[in-house]
Amino acid sequence: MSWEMVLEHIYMVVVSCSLVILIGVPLGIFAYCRPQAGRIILTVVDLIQTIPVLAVMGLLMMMFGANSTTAVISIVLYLLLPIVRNTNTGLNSVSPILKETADAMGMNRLQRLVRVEFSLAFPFILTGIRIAFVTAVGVAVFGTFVGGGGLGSMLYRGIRIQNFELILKGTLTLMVMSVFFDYLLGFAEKKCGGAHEKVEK
Amino acid sequence: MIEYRNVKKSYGGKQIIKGVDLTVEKGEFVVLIGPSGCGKTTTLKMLNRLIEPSEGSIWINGADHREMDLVKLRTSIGYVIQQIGLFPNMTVEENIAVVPRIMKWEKKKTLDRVKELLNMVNMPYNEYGRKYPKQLSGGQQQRIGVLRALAVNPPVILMDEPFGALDPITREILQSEVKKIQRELKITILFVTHDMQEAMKMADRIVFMDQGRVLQQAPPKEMLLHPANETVARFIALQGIGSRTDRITAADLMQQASGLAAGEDSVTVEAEEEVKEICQKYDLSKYRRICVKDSQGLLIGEITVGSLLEHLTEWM
Ligand SMILES: Nc1ncnc2c1ncn2[C@@H]1O[C@H](COP(=O)(O)OP(=O)(O)OP(=O)(O)O)[C@@H](O)[C@H]1O
Ligand SMILES: [Mg+2]
Repeated sequence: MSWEMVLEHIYMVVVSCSLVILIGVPLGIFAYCRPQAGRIILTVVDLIQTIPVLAVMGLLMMMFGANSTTAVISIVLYLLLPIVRNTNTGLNSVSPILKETADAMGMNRLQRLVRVEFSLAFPFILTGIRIAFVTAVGVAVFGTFVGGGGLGSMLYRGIRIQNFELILKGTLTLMVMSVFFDYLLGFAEKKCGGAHEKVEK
Repeated sequence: MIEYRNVKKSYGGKQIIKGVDLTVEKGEFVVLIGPSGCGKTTTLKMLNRLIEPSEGSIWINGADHREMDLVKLRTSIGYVIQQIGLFPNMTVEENIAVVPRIMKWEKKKTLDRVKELLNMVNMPYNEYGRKYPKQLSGGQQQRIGVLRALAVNPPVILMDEPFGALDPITREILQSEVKKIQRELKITILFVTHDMQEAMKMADRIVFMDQGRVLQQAPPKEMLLHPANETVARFIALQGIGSRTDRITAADLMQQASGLAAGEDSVTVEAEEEVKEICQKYDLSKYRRICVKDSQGLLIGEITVGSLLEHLTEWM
């Protein structure tokens, strides 16, 4: 196992997740503010996820060539679902009473969105982000087929030459990585998301 | 001064507010009361335009409220609801500061005001300012709800069953606090309840609504003693009987008399019958007297409906 592969893998995960947050959260918010367009967005995002990752990567490789960009874009497309959906669900779950109260206080649409709706939806969004990171670790394995490198190449080689040790090492590393992201973001979720949920007695 | 001028509201062809005319003077405490679904909340929400009237207009200090700037209108009208509606993601301090923040108050001024308000209800800033609503009791939460409405000293406050979800003791304390604040600051309050006792205690004037109409407007005592019609009378009768009237019977209230005769203007009840049941069973606005008979069916006394109402007033 080379550190280079691990770094390549982490690179794909972190870059794609950052991108998907930057794209997915606003998309989720937009889908919430414009419910008609929102239904279309959610359906499309849903559909994208039903296409096998490998197929998406193959298609994109023809456009962008065999490199890590192709891998990253594929992962981003694949991860839009948890981010967009969780953002949207979170916003929709904000109690209508609170929304009306915000209006009654005199908040304008943007103030209400930022101070009330988004803020209350934030724990949901964080959950989406956590799911995205953990999923990304797995999905990035396919990156190797489109020139993205990463731990996928180790697994692939292990399978090709039937090297049990190689497969095991690759798998364990991936698991550690997943657990790491899961834990880190779970911690963040507890820390930021649930500050007001905590009841001190 | 607030004026509702022939205000109507329809939803999908169904008219639920059927022409409300209502004038509220500055500093007046007006309580809207009436059976569930009669349109109290709708009437209230039309003032701060959470709901737009379908017809008619509302005038605030001589200006049509639809022509006023929406943010200005709303920040000048405090709003308190039964579900409390504190923002759970904000601390006590942040909740109270919502409207000051919308009005772009300076940080220092806001903080001072928050502290002042918290002191007013004996919830010191140092102890409570940074708590989240979930960490407070229901009564404390609703106090903060009231403070939030008071934050920028709005001339008008709307309260929709603000104490409906509280236990009786807390409710009574908060009622007194609000009444005191209202008197001191001369705030105009429109208050919704369906609890007659609460209305009696709080109101300068009670506005009785039923099925989207105002049936009667009167000071508490007057409404109690001279209900405008059957519906009002029945509502009062039903509500007048709190736990304090439990087990008080017709025999307890009657004037003994002989040679009585039941007539068109009277109902006849058993001596052992509870006042509470009598109020519920009969539409007392239709009668002047209640004749009381013993177990043999002999008339032994009577209660005038007027005196019964007076008793009910006392017991409230
Ligand atoms: N958005 C709406 N669409 C259709 N009907 C509505 C709507 N809002 C309220 N109503 C109806 O209007 C009537 C009055 O409602 P409103 O909430 O004002 O009553 P209320 O007097 O506040 O009752 P309660 O004491 O139960 O709170 C009710 O019959 C209600 O069903
Ligand atoms: Mg109501």
